[in-house]
Amino acid sequence: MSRARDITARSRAPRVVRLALVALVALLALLTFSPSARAFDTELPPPTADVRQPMYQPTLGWFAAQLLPSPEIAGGSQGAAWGLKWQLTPVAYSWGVYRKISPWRFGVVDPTARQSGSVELYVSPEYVYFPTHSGTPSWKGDELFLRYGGRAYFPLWERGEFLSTSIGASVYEFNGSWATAYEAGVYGVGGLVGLQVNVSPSSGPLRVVSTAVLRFF
Amino acid sequence: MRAQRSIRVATLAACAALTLALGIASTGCSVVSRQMRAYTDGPTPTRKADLGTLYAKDARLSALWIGHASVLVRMDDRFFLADPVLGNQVGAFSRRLVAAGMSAEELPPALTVLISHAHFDHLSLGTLTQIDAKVRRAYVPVGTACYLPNVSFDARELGAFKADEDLGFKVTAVPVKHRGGRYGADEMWNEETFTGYVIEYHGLTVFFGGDTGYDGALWKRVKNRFPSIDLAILPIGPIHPRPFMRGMHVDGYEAVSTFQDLGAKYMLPMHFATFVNSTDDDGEDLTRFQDAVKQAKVEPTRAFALVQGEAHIYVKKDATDGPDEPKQASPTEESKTNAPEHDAPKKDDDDTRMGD
Repeated sequence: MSRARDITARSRAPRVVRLALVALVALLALLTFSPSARAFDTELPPPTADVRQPMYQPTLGWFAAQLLPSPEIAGGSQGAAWGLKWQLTPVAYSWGVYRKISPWRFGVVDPTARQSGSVELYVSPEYVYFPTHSGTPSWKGDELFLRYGGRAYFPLWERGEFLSTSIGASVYEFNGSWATAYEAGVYGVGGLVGLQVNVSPSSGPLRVVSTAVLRFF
Repeated sequence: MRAQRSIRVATLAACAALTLALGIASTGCSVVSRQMRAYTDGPTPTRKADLGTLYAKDARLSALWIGHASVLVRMDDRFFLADPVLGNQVGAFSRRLVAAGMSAEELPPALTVLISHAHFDHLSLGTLTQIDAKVRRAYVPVGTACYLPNVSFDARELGAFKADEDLGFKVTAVPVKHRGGRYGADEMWNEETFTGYVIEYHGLTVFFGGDTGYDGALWKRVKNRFPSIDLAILPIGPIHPRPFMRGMHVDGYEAVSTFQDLGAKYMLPMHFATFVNSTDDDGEDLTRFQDAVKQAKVEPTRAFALVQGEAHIYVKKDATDGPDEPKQASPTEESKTNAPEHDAPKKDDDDTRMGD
């Protein structure tokens, strides 16, 4: 019975993933084309006489870049797993940008603002798959879930463009239970590539998750 | 018969693909080997900064080439630093081949910084942080202040043919032909983030081109507004791959044409022999420039290259001129003090005023 349920769960999983991806695409499309998305730049503080406020908009190029997942590997009570992670950043505050420029970013966060010193709130759709697992009735073997967290970046070299680091914390519901994770990361090339390690003492299956971060804005 | 033809086509296609692959690989190897040399050997030392020439008492207009697009210009008692990049690396991987011709400590205080655009080899966040205390004001193209770090100096954005003159000299942003942004995709948001500049002070005029492709009609417009440019600081590279570079980078020949179109008295070539940012051969930029000077029959005393750290006096004081030594040259002077106003700037054209 448990075997049958497990197989059912496994065969259903790709559909769940597809649905989640469709939802992600729809959300990003909404962000890209909706009037509220276009309001991103108009809601910024009015420009000073000397400088123009940045007009970062979720364009098609940005939209495509956000679909690129960051691969990850996880380890815990169910053995090793591989996974994929995306990130949405509803809001970020940077203390590293020039004083006449708004420190707030909504949705689109430029590398200068993020890597030069910032704090951000994020939502990460994350998919993990355990190739070998115990197959207990309550255990599906793969899952798409959301991770909600906050993260602070600190520049290390060339105002963070060449090298920066981050610390953060997140919560997520995985396999029916909520867990907390603590995270550290290091990034290079304007934050385009990086490595994040999440440690979750309270989570059995996802005790340690290492992510090769690929992110553009 | 059809099979034989298919085999011939496949063979030809394979040969073409192999040739292309070998070409790309050899070019890539050349670029990589130059980069690796820069990583392993470090930048080649250059001469000591020629401060004696820069600060010479009989100089009215002098310039010191620091390297790549970084040039320190002295106009009487004022100093202008264009595109300051003093670090050993730009972008993610491009290492400096030749050491910077001047250190941050050697720079005079109360500098006016001109940033032509936000690409890594022209806008260095580390350098701006390093020289923060010595900078009085920076001018950047419209939409570029968002790339600046949280420095303490004042920064102002200037749009095409907009001018600012409240420091006693006049800086006008002039359009050039290049590309904006810093990280690639941001070019879609920040289309106008590149410019050249014209500085006018005490009857002297200097044109700084930043990065630019050739545009004869544009240079005529610039010349109409600034008919007596004393010194044109122009890039002469990168050259290759030419079809890709042509729209945004002049080579030596086009740079000399630009110099002639602008009707400038002197030309200082820059943007070469410092970083690997193209597939050019070593020295190719300078060879083309020198050949172009010969072909265009320009007197070699009007257009010639300096080495990193070398300075040259372009306009000397007349015997009748009073003393007008650079106030900022004194290391004891406190930085960022408001330099006293000197002679009134030369009469401005109405169409270049602020808010034009």
